[in-house]
Amino acid sequence: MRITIEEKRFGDKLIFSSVVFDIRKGMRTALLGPSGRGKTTLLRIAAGLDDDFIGRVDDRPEMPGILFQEDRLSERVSVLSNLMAVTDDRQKALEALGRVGLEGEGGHYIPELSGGMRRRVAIARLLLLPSDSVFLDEPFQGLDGESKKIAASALLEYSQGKTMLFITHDEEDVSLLGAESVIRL
Amino acid sequence: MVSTTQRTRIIKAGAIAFWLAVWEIASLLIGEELFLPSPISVLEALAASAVDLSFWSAVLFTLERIILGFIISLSSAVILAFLSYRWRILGILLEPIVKVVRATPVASIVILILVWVRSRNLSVVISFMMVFPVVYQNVLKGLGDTDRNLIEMADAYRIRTLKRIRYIYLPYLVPYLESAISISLGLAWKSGIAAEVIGLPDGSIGERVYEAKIYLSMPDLFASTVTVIILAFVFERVFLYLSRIILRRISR
Repeated sequence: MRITIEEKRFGDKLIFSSVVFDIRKGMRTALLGPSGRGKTTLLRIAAGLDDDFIGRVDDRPEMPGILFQEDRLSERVSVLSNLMAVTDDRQKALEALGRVGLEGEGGHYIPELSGGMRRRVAIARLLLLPSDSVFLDEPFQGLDGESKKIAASALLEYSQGKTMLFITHDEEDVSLLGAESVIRL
Repeated sequence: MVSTTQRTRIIKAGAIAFWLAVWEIASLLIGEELFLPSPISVLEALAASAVDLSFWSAVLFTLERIILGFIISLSSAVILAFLSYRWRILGILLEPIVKVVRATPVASIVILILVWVRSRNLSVVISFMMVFPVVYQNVLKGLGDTDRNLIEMADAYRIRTLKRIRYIYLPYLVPYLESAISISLGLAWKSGIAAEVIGLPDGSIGERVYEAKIYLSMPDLFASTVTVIILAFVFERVFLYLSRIILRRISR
């Protein structure tokens, strides 16, 4: 996938100007850099969520699986209902919860969960999505050591053979998700 | 030791007793049942009505029409609000008519409707027209207030329409719907009875209210009014309870 951005602005603020990014098909690429450098913007453009820029994206994946920076869970329904929104298979939804270490938590409502548990629910929901590529915006946000490993293992299994682009601040995450190339912003 | 709930109940019962006492004293001071009947006279009139079959037949007549109008209006307003949210052009098309209906006095609508509809079905139409704008606008507002991030997520995850409604929109709509139901039920009763008083359909509560006024039977007028208040209160509680259970079950 090649992302060519002639210009990307948010109001008066110039985010990118005359840049080209290459993301190799079937490989894992990390987007590394401090806040405010346009990592999320680049990921959104790559995933097809933002087309308000001057430029083009060649060979964009048709079915991107996206993990947003915010968990984007419906706070007024249960954990299981959040998963059932993307699948008809209740058993698969329960299995996905198990894969992120949340067995038996399906009946809870989102406000009852800690930040780390919410993140894992968002990851479990992603695992249920059919996709040909994976875009992760700070996938381990709010996760501690052990749950980070569980989440990484589930994400690696899910993204096998798919193009993966992920954002992180942390060098450790780059190796945890086995990044084969790194884009530094 | 009295719990907070019990204390609140006692205070509420005390407030009712206070206003009944004010009513009784005012009635005694005026000393003329024609102007203000006493609570006792109203209670006697209510007791007399309770054993009168035609009274219950009038209650049933009015109840079924107002409820029918309410349910048709509620369903169509919810469906049209969803369609207007999906297709903005429909919302723009409906906006003037919704605003006009909401602002028009009930009496004007009643007289106009009487030209087109038999007085028997007047309260169905009036109840429909009074409820529709409230529910439609509340639901549309609720849909507009749904978290943008969740909608973008639903688009990105290719979530189907029915699932979006069930898991994303409906849970956020519950408070808007509950508020709309509560407000519009009161409106349906008030406007429905007002329509009956103007249109005088045979065997309705509105007709009984009108006759009580003609024959200067104030205790009967008050008794009919008290009956309507009780009916409206009970129906609101029952309907809100049922809709709460249904909405929560669907979106759970």
